[in-house]
Amino acid sequence: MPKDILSSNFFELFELPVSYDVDLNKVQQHYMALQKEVHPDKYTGATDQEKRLSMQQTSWINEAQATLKDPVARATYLLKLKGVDINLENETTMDAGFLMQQLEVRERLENIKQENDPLDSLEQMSKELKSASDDMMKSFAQAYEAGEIDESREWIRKLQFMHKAIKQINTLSADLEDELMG
Amino acid sequence: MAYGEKVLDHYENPRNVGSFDNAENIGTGMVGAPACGDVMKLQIKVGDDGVIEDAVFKTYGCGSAIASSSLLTEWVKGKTLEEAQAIKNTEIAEELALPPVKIHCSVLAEDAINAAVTDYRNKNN
Repeated sequence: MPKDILSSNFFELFELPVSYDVDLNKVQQHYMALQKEVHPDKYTGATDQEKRLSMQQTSWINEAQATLKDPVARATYLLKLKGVDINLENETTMDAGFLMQQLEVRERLENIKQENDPLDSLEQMSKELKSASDDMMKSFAQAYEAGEIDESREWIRKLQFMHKAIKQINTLSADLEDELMG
Repeated sequence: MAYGEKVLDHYENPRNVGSFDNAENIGTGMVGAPACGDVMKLQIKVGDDGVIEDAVFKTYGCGSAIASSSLLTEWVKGKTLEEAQAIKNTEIAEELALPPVKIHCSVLAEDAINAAVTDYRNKNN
């Protein structure tokens, strides 16, 4: 078992190398094992202090799992381990060409219901965005491994937009399906 | 969250929504806020005298981001490029009574007008 759960970083906790490429199956396996180990139910006869510790550990493990599973959160966390804090709130300007594409995606989504087969269009768009987003994750990983911090940040910012758009498409698809089902 | 009256007014009746075709006398500013995924495009049409004749915007984002860009397009009309660039996000935030968590929307608008002026200058020097 890891010596001290609360002082391990998320990668150490799940016995993974510090890298952008993570084996999500391993994340899940370690997550289950760790959760079992610290589960508050095991501490019925324990002191309040022990129970509190178990709750802190549980929430640390949950945070670790959520961070490692999410591509943007994982990338942000990797930079944080290098001492680079990304405050997205304060970062605005970006690659104009990329933003123009984002604007076009959103414009199209706005009028998607007027298209012949909106559900099909949404599926196509989702596929394209996911594949572009996969490419960006690879680019992030390369930039990160090469120690290119500024470039890494830029990819995180772009990924954030991509994921927002994908989320919006998923919501729209679900709404449309509901409408079609009557 | 409760939006202020002025935000709601600009959100429900946004002024100057639209696009200009790209031309010599048009400056385009594109900005985005990665934190919320908002995208803002602001364009200015500049007269021979260096005064902004018209301004339009397209914003995909929350009510405060839309209101900030709508208000800004109203303000910059009739202003010189220097005057437009002198507009501070705090003035927008104050006019719209934006809550602290929405201040970044006014920052986005300020960045957008600066980017538009820069784009115009790059095209015309």
